[in-house]
Amino acid sequence: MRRLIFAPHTKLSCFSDGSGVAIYSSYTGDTLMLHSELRDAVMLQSFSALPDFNLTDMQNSLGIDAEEADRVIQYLLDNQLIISAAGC
Amino acid sequence: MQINCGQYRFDLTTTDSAVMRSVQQVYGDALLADAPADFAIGLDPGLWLRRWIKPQVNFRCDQHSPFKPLPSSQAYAVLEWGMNWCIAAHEYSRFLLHAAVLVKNNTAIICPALPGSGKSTLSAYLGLSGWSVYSDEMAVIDIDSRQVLPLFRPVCLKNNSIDLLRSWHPNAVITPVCRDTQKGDVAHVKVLSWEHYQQLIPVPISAVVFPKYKHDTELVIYQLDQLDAFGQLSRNAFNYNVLGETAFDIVAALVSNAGLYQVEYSELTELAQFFDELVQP
Repeated sequence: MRRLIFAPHTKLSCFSDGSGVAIYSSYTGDTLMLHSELRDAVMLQSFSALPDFNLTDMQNSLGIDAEEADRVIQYLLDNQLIISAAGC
Repeated sequence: MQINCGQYRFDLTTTDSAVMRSVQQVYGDALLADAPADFAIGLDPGLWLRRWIKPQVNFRCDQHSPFKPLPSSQAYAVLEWGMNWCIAAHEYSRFLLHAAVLVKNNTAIICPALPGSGKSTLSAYLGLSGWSVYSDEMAVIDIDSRQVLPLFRPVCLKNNSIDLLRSWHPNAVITPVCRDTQKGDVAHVKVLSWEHYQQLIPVPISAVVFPKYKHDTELVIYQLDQLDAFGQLSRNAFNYNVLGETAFDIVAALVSNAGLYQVEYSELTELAQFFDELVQP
């Protein structure tokens, strides 16, 4: 399964109530928000601290199903907020 | 004539005596600073024909006229809106949120809300009941300290709230009503004296409250989650895109550290009680 990383020009803010993550791109100036169904702050923190992640990591951290996680990843890739980890 | 709003100074050129009287009424007690103004603004009469037939007024900031001319009877409202525009369009060294800022016990509650939510009526009511209104329109937040700064501005009342406020505070200083503006009937009420303003200091924000006036309802308070509040605050900021990452950091810190609420209300006294609880030392 493909490993991904957040692009170097992004900045993440994980909310302490577990409601989600805001991602800022200094490349486009846009902010994107990912809502967490799980509302688990610890899971979100660990997700954002991962050196790289895959679809399952995103699924587990946000509490969403595989299809939805795939759509989110595709959206993030399209907007250049995430990129493939080197060598993957 | 000079208008001193505390954080910003305006050099106003106008020949409209009604406007000059209202400026004197609202800003007359402010100390005139011995420093250059931040903005050179003017209220110009319309083209020559418009001086006689349906007279108009045109707001000018330096050489720009950002608005279409409006009826001259609305000149004072145009001036206040123009001053808001000057700050919102040119201030890039502070973070600006479209929100009312209410302060008590050196703690601020900010109320970002859509027009019609009742935030100006709320600001005027609290401003004349022991609270300090740092602004009814624009929260000016220092980028480094993330504290909110006071503005020496009146509160803009609309339609029924003008008479309501007159009935609550018969001695309040209210400018003459500008009829039939794009926001309805509009008047400005002075909620700070210059003496009071000079004692105000930058304060931290302890709560963000999104108020919504709903006729004949009891006070309903919802706790907002941080992600929702982040989205709403970033959309309500005037210069979020200009400040970029700095604005992102400020909004993220704000939603992490402040209480976040959405309230529906019809009675200002109930809402005022809730606000009092939020700023208890």
